[in-house]
Amino acid sequence: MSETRAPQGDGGGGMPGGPGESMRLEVRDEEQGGLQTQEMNLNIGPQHPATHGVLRVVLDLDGERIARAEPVIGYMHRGFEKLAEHRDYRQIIALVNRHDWLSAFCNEIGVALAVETMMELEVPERAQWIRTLLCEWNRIMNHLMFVGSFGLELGALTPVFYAFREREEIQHLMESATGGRLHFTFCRVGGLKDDLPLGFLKASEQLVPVIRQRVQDYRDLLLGNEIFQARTSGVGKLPAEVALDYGVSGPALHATGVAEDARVTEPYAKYADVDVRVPTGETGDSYDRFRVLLDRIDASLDIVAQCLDNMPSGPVNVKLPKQVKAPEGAVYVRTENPLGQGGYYLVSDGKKYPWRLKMRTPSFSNISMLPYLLEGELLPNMIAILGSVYFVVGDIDR
Amino acid sequence: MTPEELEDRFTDAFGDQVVDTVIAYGQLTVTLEPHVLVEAARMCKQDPELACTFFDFMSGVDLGEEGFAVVTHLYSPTHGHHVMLRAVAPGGRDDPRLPSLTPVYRGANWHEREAWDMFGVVFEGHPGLAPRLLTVENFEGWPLRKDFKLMTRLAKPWPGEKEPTPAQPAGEQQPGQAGDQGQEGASGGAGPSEKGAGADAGEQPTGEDRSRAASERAARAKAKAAEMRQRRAEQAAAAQRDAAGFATDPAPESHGDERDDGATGAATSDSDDERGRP
Repeated sequence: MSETRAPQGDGGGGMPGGPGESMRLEVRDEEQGGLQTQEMNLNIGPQHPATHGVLRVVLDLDGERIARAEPVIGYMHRGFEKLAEHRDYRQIIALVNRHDWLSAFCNEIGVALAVETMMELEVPERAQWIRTLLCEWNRIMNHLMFVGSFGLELGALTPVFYAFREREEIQHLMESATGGRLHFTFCRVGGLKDDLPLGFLKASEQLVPVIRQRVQDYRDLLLGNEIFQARTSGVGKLPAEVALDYGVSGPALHATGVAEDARVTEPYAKYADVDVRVPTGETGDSYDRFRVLLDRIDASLDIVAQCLDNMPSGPVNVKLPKQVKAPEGAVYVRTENPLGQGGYYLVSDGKKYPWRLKMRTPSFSNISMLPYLLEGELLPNMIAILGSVYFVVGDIDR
Repeated sequence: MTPEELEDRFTDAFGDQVVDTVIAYGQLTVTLEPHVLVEAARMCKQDPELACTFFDFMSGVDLGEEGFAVVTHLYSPTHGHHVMLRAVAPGGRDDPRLPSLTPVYRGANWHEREAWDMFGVVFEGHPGLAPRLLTVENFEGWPLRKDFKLMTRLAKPWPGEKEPTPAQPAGEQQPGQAGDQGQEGASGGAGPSEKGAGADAGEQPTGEDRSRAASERAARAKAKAAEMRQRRAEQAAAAQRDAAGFATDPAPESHGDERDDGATGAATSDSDDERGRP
């Protein structure tokens, strides 16, 4: 491992020639004649700019190398699973909005699908198409956030301003339909709250090429940047079998070359009728994870365009009984959320509120893999790894 | 593989150790004897025909008097099939124990810690369940058990017009509640009239509970006010004593008196307010 890192240290950290030569960062093991070091315990977080919230990572450092890393979670545990047992199915929609606040709509749809599967409800065509469309807009919004923040964490200040400019435009669009900027609460069991407002489809259509062009700009801005490449390529390599073993999903899994995506393998809403492209990487390093993230925006734009072409007219919800009750039994519904596979395991005892609602969140499984990925890495690489695993702290802790 | 084929694989491999299999909504759930759970998981992962390499999630479910079940969902990205392994933890509600799946799936580590944190199910062979994963270190109780009451609901009634869940029974009924609900759920198909009656009976204690909670709250507030008044008086007395000891200037003394008066006045008005509320 140290051989692969040595040239990188040369290119990024050291100044060639002159007095800088002696300051060059070298990592050598004791067997190779390095200095004997003492392990040091270091806390990163719970308040740290690189953690996007209140994640704490306890590190045991051997010099600059991480000997052990243990994420400490639970700072944002709000007991959503308990609360869900005290809400009826309509109220739960508002609840699941909030564990992953960047993918609110994609969460809502999961619960709605679970209840619909149990009640054997037929959702109108138009509602399903609108769900697919809004899911993809939400996905792009989410990804833009991480595109911006990853650059920011690596020291590139510019991309975040651009990313938020685009995000704002999509947010306006979503706001015009749902009235919310973050917590949409637009999905309902059996359909949607409302139809789309006049002009929504037109505005969507105009926005697609704009975003597509700007994603290309990020590609040039970040992926083509030499510093960015040096910081990310070869850093935090994740093998596919380890990723699967930990239940890692989303861009982090796709970057390892596994194209597992619920939209393709078990399509829900209208994903069966659109062409879903799943971009994959090869090496599973931070660079690949970021490249996959950018490509996913493109893939999502393709789906948006297809939704706009196929949008039928008709009703957007069904008439529900006065009390929504899921029949006795259990169902597991999984969806491809922006950060990975999201799932709801719903156990019902035939009442209007669930007996148990397990939220399978992508961030939880993705972060549980961190000790593996961080072990043996250099401390500065931790930022490049944390930033490219893509998580929301609320989604870890629920 | 279809769920039916998978079902056959499990019954062939484990025979009597398969307690129950359910196929619902195209999803297979296999309930196994706890001691074959690890073996079954290993088979799911290593058998090339099953190839369930993706560890999806693990979760506890409260079964009422029977104790707790733990479900583990596995998925095969190559074949695209799902398996839900389920086991009821022996030891009932007092000491639920299950073997750990960490030797087979690394991802089971955090999921088992979470299940322990939330339900108190101990996983034997786990490298370290403590410290608690999501709750705070010295947290007492197992929050997702049905006999663990949601405190906000006990302290404050539901703000909406209609309570979405039935009234939380008062203290002495607590342990029985989960079992009752389980039974009701099991006989759910008996008839709508029975359910209606149950719902009505559930509605009845809501009002009583609310008034009881309100009066308890008032009593608590009163006790707190009295305590505060006493503390203020003590402080004032101490100040007086200090003043008498260190200086003969009467000003601090009178100041102390004033403060005492003010505090008592405020406390009385507070408690009046509380009395007037219900």
